[in-house]
Amino acid sequence: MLYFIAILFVTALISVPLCRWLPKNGGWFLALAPAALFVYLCDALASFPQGVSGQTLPWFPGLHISLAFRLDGLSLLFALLISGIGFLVALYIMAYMSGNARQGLFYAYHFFFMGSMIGVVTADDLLLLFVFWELTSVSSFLLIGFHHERAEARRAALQSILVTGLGGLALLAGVLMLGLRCGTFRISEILLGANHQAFTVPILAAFLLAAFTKSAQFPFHFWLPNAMEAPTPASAYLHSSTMVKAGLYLLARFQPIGADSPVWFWSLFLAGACTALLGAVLALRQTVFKRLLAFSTVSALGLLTLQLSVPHPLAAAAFAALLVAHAFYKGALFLVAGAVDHAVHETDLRRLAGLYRLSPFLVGAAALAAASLAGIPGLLNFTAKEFLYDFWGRAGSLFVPATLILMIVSALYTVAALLILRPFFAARAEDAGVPLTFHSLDARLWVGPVVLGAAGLLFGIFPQRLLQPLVSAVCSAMLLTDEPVHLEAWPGWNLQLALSLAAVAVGVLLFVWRAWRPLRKARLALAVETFGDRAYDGALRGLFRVAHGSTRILQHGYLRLYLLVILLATVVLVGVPLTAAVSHLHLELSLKSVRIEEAFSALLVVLGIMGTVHSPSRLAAIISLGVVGYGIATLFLLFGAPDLSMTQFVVETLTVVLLVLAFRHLPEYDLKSRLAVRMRDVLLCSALGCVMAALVILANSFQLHPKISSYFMQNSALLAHGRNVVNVIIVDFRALDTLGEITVLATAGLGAWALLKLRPRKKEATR
Amino acid sequence: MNSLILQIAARYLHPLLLLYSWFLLLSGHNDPGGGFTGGLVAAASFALYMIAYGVEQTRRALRVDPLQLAGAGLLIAVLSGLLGMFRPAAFLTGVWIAAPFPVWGVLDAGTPMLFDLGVYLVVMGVSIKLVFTFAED
Repeated sequence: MLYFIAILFVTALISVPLCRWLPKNGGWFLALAPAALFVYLCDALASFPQGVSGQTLPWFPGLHISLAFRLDGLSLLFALLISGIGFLVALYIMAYMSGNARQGLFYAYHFFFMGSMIGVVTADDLLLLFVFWELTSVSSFLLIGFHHERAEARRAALQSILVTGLGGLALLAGVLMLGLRCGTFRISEILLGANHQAFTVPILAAFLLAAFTKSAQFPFHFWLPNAMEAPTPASAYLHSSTMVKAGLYLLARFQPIGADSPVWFWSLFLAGACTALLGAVLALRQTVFKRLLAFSTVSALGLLTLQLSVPHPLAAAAFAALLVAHAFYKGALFLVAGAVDHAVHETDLRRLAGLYRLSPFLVGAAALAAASLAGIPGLLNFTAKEFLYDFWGRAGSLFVPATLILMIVSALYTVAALLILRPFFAARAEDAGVPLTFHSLDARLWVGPVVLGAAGLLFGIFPQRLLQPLVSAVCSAMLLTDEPVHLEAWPGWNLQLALSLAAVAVGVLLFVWRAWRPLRKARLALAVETFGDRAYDGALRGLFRVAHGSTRILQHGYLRLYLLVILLATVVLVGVPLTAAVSHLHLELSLKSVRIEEAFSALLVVLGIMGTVHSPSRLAAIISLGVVGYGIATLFLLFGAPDLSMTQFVVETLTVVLLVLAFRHLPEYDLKSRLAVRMRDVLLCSALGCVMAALVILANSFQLHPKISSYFMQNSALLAHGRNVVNVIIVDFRALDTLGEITVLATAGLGAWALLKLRPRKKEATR
Repeated sequence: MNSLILQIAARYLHPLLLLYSWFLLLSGHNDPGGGFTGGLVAAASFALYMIAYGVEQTRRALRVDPLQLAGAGLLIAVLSGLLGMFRPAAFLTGVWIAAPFPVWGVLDAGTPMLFDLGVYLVVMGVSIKLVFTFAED
């Protein structure tokens, strides 16, 4: 898998130059990558269960993190959808973005996402999974904000990355807790170990938060409809058929160890039910094509989550079937929406009419996909729903609520399907505005929807032939058993069929009476629809307020107060532990060993300090400070540290130069502080002096690790070809530290320069 | 500042100081010195030149932007670390060659010296940039 992911990332890299070189047909070459992956995966599916393959490469061996990939049934299902739909969308982009100068960039994001998403579903290492998970969030951000000149697009992109980023952080916490608890980060080992106590409530909560934010579950559903700011190919691909299902993948992957907890069942059941109902109701209030689809996607994601609440072969089979069905019909509908927008330049369903004139293929694709959405027998979504009814029919006390939810949602889907289909067949628009102008439709714009719509039909008619292997593979991966699942296109006359048909009938009636629909004007529905957005805005405002407040307190801009805090912290943090160690202090004061030049240097330092504190002019103070530095440098020299001393001399010189240059920017030199403040400073500085003196004496009387310095002494010339141990340590033994230091130095220099250059000029400041 | 004495002195001291900074850099591996000290001496030398002749002329004498020097230094330091990885060994492992060299005898050169050159350039570049910025406005 690593090679395929690498190929996809390389494809992302070359897509910009390739599209510049071949602006019309570059997409054909780029689409080869997902096509190859799709063929490979089909081959793997054919040879299942031998198809379970793994690949492991060391990444951070010291931390036991590896590039581990594993392709089992569940991964295969997702990867097939990602590569197959990714291929169709890649062809679609060619026509949709033709003539756009940024087509190459769009392709780059598209393949960047595809590689990341394949990584998510095939990663067998928890941390690797997390890395790819975050990459999908980033690529989604880039795609939603693709038209970054629009403020709404920027807002939606930021919203999506903040919400999914919150989930990403939760995932990181959960992954670390789980990995440390199980003693391994390898997902397959964790699952096979089947340590059912592994999922503690905090870990579970972290995983649920990650999955719910990513898959737009209530109450995080609001970012998905806003994400419709993305260009339509991205909406079709990321925000209906693949990325939003990463959360479902996570839940399905960890269901074997997570589902034992009652928390798992209740949170998935409730969140799924709320999301399914809310999404379906709100979808009907939408007039913009893509937003309607987005809300119905939210609803479908809710149904899928609901399906994961109970570990059962039938539930898993229904989950897989519903996932495939949804990817087919929703992907097709989104692509149809994009094609309509491209050909007619109108997105409001009320103003669209007579679309049958566009292309018979497009109309056929829309009809097939909408029929699948409505759950008409013969289409895949119908088969999947039969499964759902069948499963919940055996669930005992949950039968009534689950079946009710399913029926309501199905009826509402039927209304949505009719709302979508009406503009294709109706001759007259509901709200005729500007007359529509029809542009010709590129064949590449209807190929994708036709393939997806036809796939829904074929899979619906021949579920045993086409869907069975996939569903069995998923069941074996999710339940770790090989129980056969039976799939049928036509279940015969039974209760499930009656329920399905009743739901469709209710939907048709609702559609006919939609003019009476009180929902459209209901205040409550509007409040519910905007609730998430308002909560998000409020949270963001609160965050900004906290940031402003803390910045005002912490970053007040008074240098002397910063210094005060730093010194005080040093005194407390170093001084308190020192008091414990003070009993070890052997202080032998004898002046006999003090040489005259040492005493002279020390005197120089003291005199320099006196001069600095008492000098009447700033220049004198600075020069006195220089004297202090020179005195210390002399001390270094006397105690056998020529390197240090040399550096100190030059640094002192440069500091004096800098200070003199900074002179004219400083206010008049005057004694400004009150006596109390000065006494406080004297106290603090004396305390610091005592602490530092004690520290130095203590450090001298302890020899913690004698081996280090002797090692350096012995090996400096031997290993590092240098006799100056200090320098060898700097550039060889501890070179990484030095690299960090010079990086900090360069960054600090850049920052200081920017601060000096960017500060407001005097005139502006006084204005 | 228009002091003839300072200007003449700077004219002669500047190349000497730069030479000395190079000496510090190269001899640093066996004797006191090294990239850090060398870079500071070079920066001090340019500071002296600047005090005597002004910022503009010093900028011309330096030819490149000091921050570019610092950036180049960082790049050299990182690249010197990458060289060791071809061996293959860990990042920043020193690679040494001992080649016969006319007059000198044997030239013992290695990637840590390149790394030290990087340190030299970063320290020199950042210090000069700060001195220039303070002197300018």
